Amino acid sequence: MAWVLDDSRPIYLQLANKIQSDIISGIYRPGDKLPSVRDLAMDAAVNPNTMQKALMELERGGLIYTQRTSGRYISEDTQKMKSIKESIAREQIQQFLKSMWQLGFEKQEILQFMEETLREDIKWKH
Amino acid sequence: MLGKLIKHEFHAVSRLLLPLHLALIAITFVGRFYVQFAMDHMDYRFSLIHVSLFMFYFLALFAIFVLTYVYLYILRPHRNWFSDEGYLIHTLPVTPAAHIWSKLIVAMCWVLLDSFLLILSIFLMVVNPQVLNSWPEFIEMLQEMVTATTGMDYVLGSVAYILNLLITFARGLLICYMCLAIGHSFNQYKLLISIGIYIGVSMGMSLITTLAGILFSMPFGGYGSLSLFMISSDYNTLSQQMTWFDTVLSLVVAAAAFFVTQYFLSKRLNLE
Amino acid sequence: METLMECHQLSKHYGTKIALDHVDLTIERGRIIGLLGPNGSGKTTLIKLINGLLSPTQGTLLINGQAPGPETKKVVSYLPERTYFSNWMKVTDIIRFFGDFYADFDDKRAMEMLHRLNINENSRLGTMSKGTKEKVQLIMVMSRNADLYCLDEPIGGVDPAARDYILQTIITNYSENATVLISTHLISDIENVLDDAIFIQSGRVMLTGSVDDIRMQEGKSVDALFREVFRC
Repeated sequence: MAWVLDDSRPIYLQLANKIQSDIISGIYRPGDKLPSVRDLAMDAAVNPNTMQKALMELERGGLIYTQRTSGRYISEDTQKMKSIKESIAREQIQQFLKSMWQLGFEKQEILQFMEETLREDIKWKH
Repeated sequence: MLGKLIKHEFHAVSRLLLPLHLALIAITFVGRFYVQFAMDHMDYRFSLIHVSLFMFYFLALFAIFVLTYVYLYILRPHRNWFSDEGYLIHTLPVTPAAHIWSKLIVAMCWVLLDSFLLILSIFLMVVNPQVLNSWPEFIEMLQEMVTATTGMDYVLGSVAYILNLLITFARGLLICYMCLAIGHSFNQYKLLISIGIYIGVSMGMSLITTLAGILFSMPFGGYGSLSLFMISSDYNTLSQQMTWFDTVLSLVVAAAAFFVTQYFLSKRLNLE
Repeated sequence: METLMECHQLSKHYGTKIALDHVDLTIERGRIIGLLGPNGSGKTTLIKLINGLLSPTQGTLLINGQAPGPETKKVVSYLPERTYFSNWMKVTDIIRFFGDFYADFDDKRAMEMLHRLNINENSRLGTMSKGTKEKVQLIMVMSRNADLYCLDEPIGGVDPAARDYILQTIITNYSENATVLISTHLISDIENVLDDAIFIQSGRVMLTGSVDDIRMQEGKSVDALFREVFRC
């Protein structure tokens, strides 16, 4: 797990994002138990308080829940995950489209490029 | 906590002083056998070697004596309190007074041990049946010396003498601690200031003692008429007074040095 | 529980030089705080005052409601910039020393950390490299269960791997009851570990705040902000 943290945004938000991606992409399965705050903090080389904040964000978003005595678990609400996954996808697409439009491409051209690239190889997936 | 400080202080100090004094004992033994051998086989051709070795022995004794004192009075307190080690020692949960006591107690023990071993060494070097025979005379001579200097009978006088000796040692140590502490609190000329204060205190004490001497001898006709016209009981009284005065003065100076050192250790520490 | 540390109008003068100038600060428990400023800004002076190695010229400084003294030294653990152990001491001697004087010293934790670094407990400090000596010192300091840890420039002049180790040690030993105060001018390396930052310059506190707040409000890292604020 490589935690790449940039300089200008609050660390806890970046941590929350990273964990969220891991959950959505299936690295953490629904129902899995999350490592302890301290272990996660050590792994990311950040302050445990900051990691705690990140986890609370995720709890608020409904992706994880706390069981008082045993710790934090990934939510089993696959519906929720699907909707988050979709909204992330939409966000990514919006950003992509914005970049393309800034370069001066039209809708037709963009679709063409997309199809060609997708057809060519799936190398980029792995 | 004080006990632990003392334990640690002994441990640290004995690292140097124990081997040093074991060497002293070794030199004494070797020297003694050599002397015995040389005496039994007198040969003037080796006299140069004998004399040189003899000088070496005294040099060694002198060196051990000086090293012990310089180490206990100056090097150890300076290193432990005012160098990088100071960062460790002064952040211990211990009062400054405890720091001073621990150094004082351990230094006193070693100073006394050192003195004892040095005297023992010289004694062992020269002892022979002749010396042993004149032992009673030697003791008598000591007793006379004690009664002469203290003006009391040799029992009370010995006690007073030893007490005075101990307090003098303690005073000397505390004055050194104080000079180091004061000197170190300045940013510049630390050494100069330390030496200056030491000289000042020594001169001050001499002055006070001399004045006291004059004062005490006035009832007996003044300083000039000492010993020539005084009857022995007056002389004894004067000696007693001076002995007690000396002890009390040392005590007062020692206590003052203690408190000044304590103040500088707690409020004027200037570690760099 | 009272505030861990607070100082009020704290000043320290060295003759005409003003090292700290009417500083007001409050430090709470359970935080990792960066004391950030250029060289000579007063960081070390503040830390020495907290540890009772200096006396204030003016103002007050309280730790758990008490002025610095033997009682506060029981709960404050100090890592100075320099090595303060004698070279003749063996690691076991040091462990015994700390154990003797500090009731909160955890010798098992210290041994564990030493072994993980392959440091032989019977070796003398004089035989170790500077880096190893520093690690031994850090281990001893962090093996205490203190209320306040003061680390003065712990990562200056240390290789990147050692730096990671130091930060990792700080994170692992984190406790909600304790606070770690790290004084440094190398901010980017430790920023991710800090909760709060205190900017200090010429003996005055310029800024205090949480790292997250600073990033949100200023839109840049604490390191970048520092470079701006303390531009030469």
